[in-house]
Amino acid sequence: MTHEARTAGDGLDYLPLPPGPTVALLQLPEPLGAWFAQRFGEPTAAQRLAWPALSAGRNLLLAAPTGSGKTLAAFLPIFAGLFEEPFGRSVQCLYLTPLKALANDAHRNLTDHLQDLQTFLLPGSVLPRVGLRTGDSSAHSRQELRRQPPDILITTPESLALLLSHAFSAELFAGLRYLVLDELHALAPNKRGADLALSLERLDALTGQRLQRIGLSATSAPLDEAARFLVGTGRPCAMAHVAESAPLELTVEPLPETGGFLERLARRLEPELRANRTTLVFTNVRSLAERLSWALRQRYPDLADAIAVHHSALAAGRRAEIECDLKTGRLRAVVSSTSLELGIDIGPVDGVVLVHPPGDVVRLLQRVGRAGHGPGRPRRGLVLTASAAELLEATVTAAGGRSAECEPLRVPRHPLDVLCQQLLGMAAQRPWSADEAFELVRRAYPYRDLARDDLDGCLDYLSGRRRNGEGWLPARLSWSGDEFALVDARTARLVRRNLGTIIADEPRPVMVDDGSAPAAEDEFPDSGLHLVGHVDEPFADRLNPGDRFLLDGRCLEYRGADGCSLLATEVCGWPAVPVWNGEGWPLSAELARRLFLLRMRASDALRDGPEALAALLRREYELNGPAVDILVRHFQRQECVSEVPDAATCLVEVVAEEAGGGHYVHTPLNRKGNDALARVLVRRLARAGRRVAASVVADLGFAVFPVDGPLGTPEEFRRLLSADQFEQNLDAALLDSDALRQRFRRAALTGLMLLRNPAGRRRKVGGRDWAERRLFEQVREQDPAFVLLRQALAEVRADCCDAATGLAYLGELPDMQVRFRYLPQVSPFAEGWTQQATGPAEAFDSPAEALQRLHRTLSGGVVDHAG
Amino acid sequence: MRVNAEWLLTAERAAVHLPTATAVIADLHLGYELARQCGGEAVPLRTPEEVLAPLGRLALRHHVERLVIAGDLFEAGPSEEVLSAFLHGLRGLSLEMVGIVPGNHDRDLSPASHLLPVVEEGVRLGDWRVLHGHGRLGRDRVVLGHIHPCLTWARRRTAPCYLIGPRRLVLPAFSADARGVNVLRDRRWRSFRCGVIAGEDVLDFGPVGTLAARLRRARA
Repeated sequence: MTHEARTAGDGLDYLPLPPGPTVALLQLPEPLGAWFAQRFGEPTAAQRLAWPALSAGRNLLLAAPTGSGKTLAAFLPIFAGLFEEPFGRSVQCLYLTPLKALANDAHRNLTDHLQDLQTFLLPGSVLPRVGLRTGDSSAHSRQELRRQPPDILITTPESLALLLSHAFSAELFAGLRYLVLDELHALAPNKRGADLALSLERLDALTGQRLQRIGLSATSAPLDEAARFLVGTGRPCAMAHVAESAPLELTVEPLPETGGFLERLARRLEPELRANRTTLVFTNVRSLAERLSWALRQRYPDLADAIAVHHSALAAGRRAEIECDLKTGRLRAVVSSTSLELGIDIGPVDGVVLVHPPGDVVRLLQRVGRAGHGPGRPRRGLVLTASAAELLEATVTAAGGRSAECEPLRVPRHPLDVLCQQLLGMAAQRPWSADEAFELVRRAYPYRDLARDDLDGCLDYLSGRRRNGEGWLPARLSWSGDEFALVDARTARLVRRNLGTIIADEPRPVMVDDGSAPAAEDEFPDSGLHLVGHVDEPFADRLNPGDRFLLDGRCLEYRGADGCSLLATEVCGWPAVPVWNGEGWPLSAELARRLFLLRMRASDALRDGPEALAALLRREYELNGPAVDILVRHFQRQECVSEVPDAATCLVEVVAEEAGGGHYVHTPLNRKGNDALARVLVRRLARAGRRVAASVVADLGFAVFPVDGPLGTPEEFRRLLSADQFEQNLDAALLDSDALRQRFRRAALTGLMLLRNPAGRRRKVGGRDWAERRLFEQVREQDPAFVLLRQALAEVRADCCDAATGLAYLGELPDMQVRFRYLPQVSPFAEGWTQQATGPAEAFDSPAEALQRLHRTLSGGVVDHAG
Repeated sequence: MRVNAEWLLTAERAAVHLPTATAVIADLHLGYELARQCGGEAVPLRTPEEVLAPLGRLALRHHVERLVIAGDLFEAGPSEEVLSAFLHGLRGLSLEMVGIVPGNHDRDLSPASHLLPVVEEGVRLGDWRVLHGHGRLGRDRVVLGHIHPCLTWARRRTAPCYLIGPRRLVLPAFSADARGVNVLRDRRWRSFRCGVIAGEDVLDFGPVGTLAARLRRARA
């Protein structure tokens, strides 16, 4: 808990010590105080901190662990406010959650609390009405919302954006007084958050800027960044942080060494499943969640019905069913990719198991925090690792978790594709002048430093013209004087159909004929087909009739496609596993640095003998048993084959051709930082006439594979990695990259240049990658300064590679020694790099060159030139 | 790449019937961007010159005089705007369009029949018949489109290709907008040879049935 009153500037204040329970309860008018005292006893620290600040009408960011009573901390002062002033004809309080499942949970909880409260009210008192509006809401309930607005409306950012695009939103939100943003940490660091920040400013404008904003968050640092995200620029906010009080019991353990991976995993999990009432298993990726739950069911048939898989590619109905079974104790284990990280109410969980390290400390704490809900009950977490490198990674992650050193929250800087979508939503609501829009947009924290030129660029695109005024695209906006609006009602309908497209992969639904009753959300409710979930389009495209794959822990056989849907039947047999996008978890920059330092300390200790290293690992990293032995052996092998890199040296391991060749460059950077270095190195090599077959990027290093022999001397290598012209070279390399094309497609979908739900038929001929292949080239040629292209480039610069960190490292290189070590084999530290790399390494020759080369390699091909 | 003495498969995605100096192309999907615009998307249009540029190269390099279109000239039926731009572009290339077989995307070509030589039953070239490929093919030797064959390798890389069988010659889509369908994923083509377009060349990659295994071996 924060014990002293401090200020972070800009009107942000940390709250001082919370008042005692009695004083805190006095903040609540009767009968709220009496109801609370009777039902819950003493208020929690979070509630004691929040109530005085909220009762005084202040904005508040409350960061507190799950189970600390955040919901009532926010809502009791709101109930008090609602009772004090009579309810109006519009929504009084808006409660925003990042997931539909959380919105449903919140609706249930608030309704239960209010009904319970009724027994304490005077007869004839009216309770505030609670309404729910999500993508699943029926047409009837949407109409009802408009006709008779609830006092408290629970919704998601996407549904809010849609509501705001209607003219009636002015009336609906005219009397809005309170805004509660739940799970703020899940939104602030991404584009959905940027979209929401703009929606909040639009709401604020509708209410005459008198909205009280309340943000609820898990532990996030720095707190003031989260607070600024909540309130926007120039508004005051109180901040309160309640530390986790439940003891943390973290164990890092290597999997048994004999047997296949799934078998070892299943064997190790058995005692956990049998000892705990409920176990949550996180796997990082959905494919492993599917395979593992399937393997567990096969291996332990007595538990088969009590094991389920949960990830966001499953149908919403199926997910809800699993959450309900989990809550009511019908399930012994749920294997989840990441989808149960957020605070969906899942009841008591005894143990959390993480298969593979989670990549950062925030995620580790979030997952382990799902265990031991309840005062004094420990948060028990077990991290299982499959290799020495993973064990090392898990060790520093766990150490970071024990000392609660979370990665800093990073709010994205003015994503222009999101802004384009919002501008269309704004224009759908009413006409705006560019000046008025600019002023509003800049009040949202992610857009605080948006340049006027960027806004004008967005408006030009939406008006169908280039920056020089020439028309080149169909216009969505029309201008009357200095005000813009949508061109017609059809455009408004299309915009509304596509608002909320932020995550831009296009999963394909999988329908199974399993004889069960179809759910309401099913695409073909009369057909007996049942929606089980989604798979990524590239995976779907590779399927042939008869192919088998896993989904929902079941083995399905693909029968054929029907429109966009895949039709399948459940069978017994050996399946393949679908691939979903966004599965890799690279280390955070902070953890990469800590891991590098741990290696250096371990290397120092090893000089005094293996026992000294073992003692260090036991003492400072709380490891024991086989974990210690594996790491000691790992370091001994590295020292024997090569050396442990230190901060004063850039170690380059040059591996003999017979062992695959390649230059393995060790750095203290995470994958993103290394990506920047590798791209620049490959580009400079190409300019020097050297060809590179492939490059591989990993945490703590990267490898390049030159076609024609080693790269020369360390001095030449140093020149190739000079900081001079680094950013220009990186930009040039990125302009030719597949990553940029993919980002552009996403930006085009988010910026509504392309529509996920177009009018009429889908144009299938171009396929999913049409924007990457064709539109990208066309746009780059016709308008190189196009806003969505610039957005894609900014994203690649920031997300795929970390140019700033890469450049900072190169700045230090002149003072470091560059050491080439010629090795007969890949060193233990670099062994995992090729497996760790996500997706195919970027290829560096043109498709025609690659085909010619392939053709020469294939036997039996006869080259016949047509021209 | 030559097939028998009759056909020259070109990198411009056209098969040239040498005895009659006639190029056959399929699946132009003209007006693709316009169709996307009609669906509400804000994409730029391509100029007819850009779309027809490969035909100009074809006429120059292979001395082609006549042109047959094996269906799907249009993405979404014959719009006046798209048709007149196409005919205008074609006039500049001194190519005589001798036949067009309707494809499934062409919908009803009758409004444009005074401008286009529509041949519903297919165009004869020697003992070959040119069809689109979405209906029954019969026992004739047939040149067809519709399939959009391509070869996908190394997960993401693709190149358009021809499929060559004793009684069938499948053309790649002429439209660069078409994504293509990986021939390795369709058992129908196992006995066909695969002629892959690589830059300026068409390379014979041999039978499709063994190609996947040969690619795997080559990678290893």
